[in-house]
Amino acid sequence: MSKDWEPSILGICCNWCAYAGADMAGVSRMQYPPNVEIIRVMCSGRIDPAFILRAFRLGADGVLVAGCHEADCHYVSGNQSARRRVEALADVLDTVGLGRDRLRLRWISANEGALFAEGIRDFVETLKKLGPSPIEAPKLAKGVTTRTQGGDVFAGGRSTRNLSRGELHEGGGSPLRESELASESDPSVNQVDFQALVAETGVLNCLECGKCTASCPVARRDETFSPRRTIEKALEGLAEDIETDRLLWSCLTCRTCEQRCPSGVSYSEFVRGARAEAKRLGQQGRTSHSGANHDLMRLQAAPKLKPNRMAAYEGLKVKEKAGKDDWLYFAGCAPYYQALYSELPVQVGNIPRDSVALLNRAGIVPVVMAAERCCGHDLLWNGDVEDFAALARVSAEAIKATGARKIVTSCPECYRTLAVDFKEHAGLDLEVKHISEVLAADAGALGLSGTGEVVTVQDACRLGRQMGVYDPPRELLAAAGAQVAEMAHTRGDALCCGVSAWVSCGQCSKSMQVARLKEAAATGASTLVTPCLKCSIHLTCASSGELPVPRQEVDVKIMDLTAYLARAAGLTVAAEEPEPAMAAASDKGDA
Amino acid sequence: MSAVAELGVEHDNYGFIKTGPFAPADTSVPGVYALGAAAGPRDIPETVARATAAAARAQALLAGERNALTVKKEYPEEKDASGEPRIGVFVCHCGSNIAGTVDVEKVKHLAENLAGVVYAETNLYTCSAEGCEKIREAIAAHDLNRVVVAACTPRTHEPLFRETCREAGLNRYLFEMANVRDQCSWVHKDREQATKKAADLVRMSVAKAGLLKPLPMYEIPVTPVALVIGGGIAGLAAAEAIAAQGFEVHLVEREKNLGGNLLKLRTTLSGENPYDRAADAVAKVGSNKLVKVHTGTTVSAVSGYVGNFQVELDAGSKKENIAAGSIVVATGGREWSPEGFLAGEDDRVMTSSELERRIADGKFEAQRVVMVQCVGSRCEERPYCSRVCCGLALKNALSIKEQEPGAEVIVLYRDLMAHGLKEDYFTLAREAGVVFLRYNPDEPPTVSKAGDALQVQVASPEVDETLEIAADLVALSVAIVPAEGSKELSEILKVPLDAAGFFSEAHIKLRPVDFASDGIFLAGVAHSPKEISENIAQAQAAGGRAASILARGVFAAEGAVAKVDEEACRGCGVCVSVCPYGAISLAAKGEALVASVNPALCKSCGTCAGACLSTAITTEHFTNEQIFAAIAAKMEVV
Repeated sequence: MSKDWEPSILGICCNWCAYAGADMAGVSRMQYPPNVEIIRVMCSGRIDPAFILRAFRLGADGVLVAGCHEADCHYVSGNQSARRRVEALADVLDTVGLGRDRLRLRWISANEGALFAEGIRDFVETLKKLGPSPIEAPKLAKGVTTRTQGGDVFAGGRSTRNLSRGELHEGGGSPLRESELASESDPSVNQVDFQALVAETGVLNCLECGKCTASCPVARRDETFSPRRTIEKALEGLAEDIETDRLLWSCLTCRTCEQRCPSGVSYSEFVRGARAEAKRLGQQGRTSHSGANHDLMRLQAAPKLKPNRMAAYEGLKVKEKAGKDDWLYFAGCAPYYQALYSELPVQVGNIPRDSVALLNRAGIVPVVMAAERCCGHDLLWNGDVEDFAALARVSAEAIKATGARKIVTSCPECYRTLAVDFKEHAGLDLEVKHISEVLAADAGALGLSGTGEVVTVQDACRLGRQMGVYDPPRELLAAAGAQVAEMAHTRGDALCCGVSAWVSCGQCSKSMQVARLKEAAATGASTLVTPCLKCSIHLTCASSGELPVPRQEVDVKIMDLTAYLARAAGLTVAAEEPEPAMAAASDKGDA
Repeated sequence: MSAVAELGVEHDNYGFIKTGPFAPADTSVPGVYALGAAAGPRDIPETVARATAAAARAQALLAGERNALTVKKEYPEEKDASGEPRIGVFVCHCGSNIAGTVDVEKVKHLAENLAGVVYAETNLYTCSAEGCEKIREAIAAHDLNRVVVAACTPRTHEPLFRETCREAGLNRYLFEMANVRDQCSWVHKDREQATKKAADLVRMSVAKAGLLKPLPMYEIPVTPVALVIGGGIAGLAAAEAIAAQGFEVHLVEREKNLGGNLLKLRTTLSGENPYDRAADAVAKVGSNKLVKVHTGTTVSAVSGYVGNFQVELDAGSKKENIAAGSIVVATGGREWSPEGFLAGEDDRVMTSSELERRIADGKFEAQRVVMVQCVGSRCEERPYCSRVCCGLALKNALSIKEQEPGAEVIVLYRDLMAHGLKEDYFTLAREAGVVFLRYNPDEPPTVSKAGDALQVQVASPEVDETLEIAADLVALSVAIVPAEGSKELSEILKVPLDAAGFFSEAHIKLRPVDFASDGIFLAGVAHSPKEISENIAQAQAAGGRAASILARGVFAAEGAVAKVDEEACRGCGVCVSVCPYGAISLAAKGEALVASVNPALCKSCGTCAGACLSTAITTEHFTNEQIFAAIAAKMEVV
């Protein structure tokens, strides 16, 4: 660390107590180090985890969230929402290796100037001990930057990579408006790249039959959305139109249309490429969760981060270095999402543990990486190729260092990404399998006992339509004595969970989720088993909130495949029952 | 002093203008009202409350002439701000408050080079009339469509600068402040570091300012009727103050009779009879045609918002719905029931207020009285001072000495809170031979029986050993706690309580009788334990504030409210469940559920936006985009 390094702290303070407390420190002339700058919000309840992650991802060494004392919220209960979110995020920071000590939550009243000043002094001390954030600040891409600071001594700072203007505004919320469509940097589409994309993805073969739009679950719900029209525009060379259209971000890349397309147009890959170009043009795009998940992924690209995921495997058989035939188990994002969405009755946190327990039962002692990072799938499909590649390169190095030659994943997105995209972007070419394939190869070894239940299976887009894996989950469920009842749309026709890569979520997603849950409930199955944690989170989110249909029409339990199998194998004491209360109600509970 | 003399108002021997505990704003001359330190030493919140009370008293006289001299302020039409940002930055010296530490010229120079900034200047005092005029001139001269002032805190000065912008044709919300004084020049000494931080703060504010949007103010018509909850002295005074301005009042009391705790008191330190005064106030309100009294009644539900509350009253046998434009909460408090000290076990141990009644009713007989202060106050469960109990002990001690000069009175205390002019009575008591003995808070006195005799044990820092005092009577000065039902009422009204269960005001110093929610005010012990004069002053103030809303006819509500992007809304209802104000509801739209916001109910906290998973709801003026821009600016990536 350089000698003159000083920690940079972002404070986010509520107007009524903490910000006023900071003012009071001023009124009382209490001195504290100048390392903090405060953003004022009306209530700490306004604070979205995305704000905190954005600050860290841009290189902040510490973030202070401060509001009114617990029972003293100016807005009755907003600070309790803040507390829950910050505490959950602290767990995530531990897992990704940034550490919870860099995030502070403090209750400071309007007259506690001394507490504010002391809090800053103490935080600066702590951060000096921790040293600079392992995440370095990116710099604006050339041509994107607004006017510079005239070569002043205060200008500049740490820089590692370029940042597009669109990225900077990502998570802004409202869909793109006309005024925002104009790019500030290079407004023109790279026609050479665009034509290459058109050629590579088979767009030129389009017969304009319209089967894509007819089968598209989004087009059914949003009549302004039409894959066929997009392809027509591409053929007409209307690249600008495509790249600046907010509908570019509506596609789920679920590949339902590709099942129907008689000409082999790879619409999902076309959209992926078009999004990358849109991002290059400075488009903000769309993200759910205010972009928090994407920033969480981006910050993991920092090579100096030291994630720690070993807690999940305590008491299980794992190894650090691979022998010739050893599998590397790649767990994916389950631990973060369990924490981030802890206010929903989401049950995905045990996926890594259940997966390794099942592998052990099958006689496999997998290699696991304490410092595993996100695979970056959602960055790639959100058009952020550069950050994806940076993250993939770090992961690829770590994977290579274990000596493993084959990878097993419990997440269909990791599966697709490691198997296909790591080759292109990180030069990693290993055998990759989904855990259902590995376990189904010798299901008898798992010691599954008959559950006798009727269950139904969600075919995740990445596992099914992208990687062609449909049977192994069904074989495993059958081995567990479950009777698999198929939904009205199944296998290649399966209805997507409504969101992919945390891109666009909204009315259309909810409608798809409700439709899917209705299909599941209509089979008479007690449980909807999904091999994908995203499907699990999204369907749980839909079923736990308010519904436009009677609750009994969507009444089905949602379980991850590994959780279901681990239970059937007697590897879990008892599956934790999701809280029956709605997500909404849990917030109200402590209000 | 000469002005006071000219007015002919009476003053006390210290020179403070004389006011009475039951008419705390009134001087000896009708129509002349006293406020602030002119009438006695006061803290800020009490000064503000009493000033508001004096204003209310004056308004009552002038109610018939309301608006006779009002000139409506005319504003120029708002200019179109939809084009590229043209930001003006005004860096304040604040005399030497900022410029003494921060190189304001350098900050100005840096600001000039920021994206979107087309003009920057420094001012000696930006908030002065001259400074504001310069902002208005610059808006015109440089066609500014956003203004950033780098000065003190928006918590005090944002309203002034917003108004200045509006006067120059800018929407009020196209303004942003950078707090380079309270949060920079006042807390950092190093000139270079402070200048760098000031520049950072300006850059953050400019980044946000570029994304600000003009927002409308909502005008809400007002029902010219008030609701006062609580019929003790505070509620009575508030109702009287509102009715005095010509507005109808519903006065709701959960007990069968009006009057409250005052009916249990017999004397005050200054010699008035609280029982009689309370009875007078009850009679006066009872005969006031504008006041409708609802006794034996509670408030069971409240919906609506400032100007338009719908209130359900529950009188046990029947429910009644009324409409009100504003609400005053004056639910008071009660004595805490003491534990220990043989309280409830030996009838020679009593509360100080019971002792007061005995003395007044001529039933006092004892040769040695021990009074214990801070019983149940200033402890872990109730960390606050109950404020009235030291005065009560002084009053009882003086009465005893007057009735039975030979009786011994020993007051065991922690700190004697004889604030303001009460110190005189403390002196009188000591002169009369009352013994004041300090006890250790860690070892509070205990009471036991030796045979039939009461024994008080006390460890005092003033004597080495534990004292054993034989007493004929022990009086406990017990804590005041919030009235029953306060929690329920806080939930019904969606207003906050503090940790002790008293209602919390909007600002501890500057808005002592306002709640954060528009149109709801508070007075009396419901807020914290208080003396009679403080209760009445606060009640008159709250009544005046409540009437000021009714007098307006329409109310301008905050424009920075929550806003829903219907396409991104999943209709999950998380926002509905976290909203502390019930401002959001779900409505069917086609086959979907979609959230919608009632702007009149929204208080801009943004908890909904923090909770929404699909980024479908935001709070105007604190949007994700604006906050992300400020974060990026802070991290120097723009």
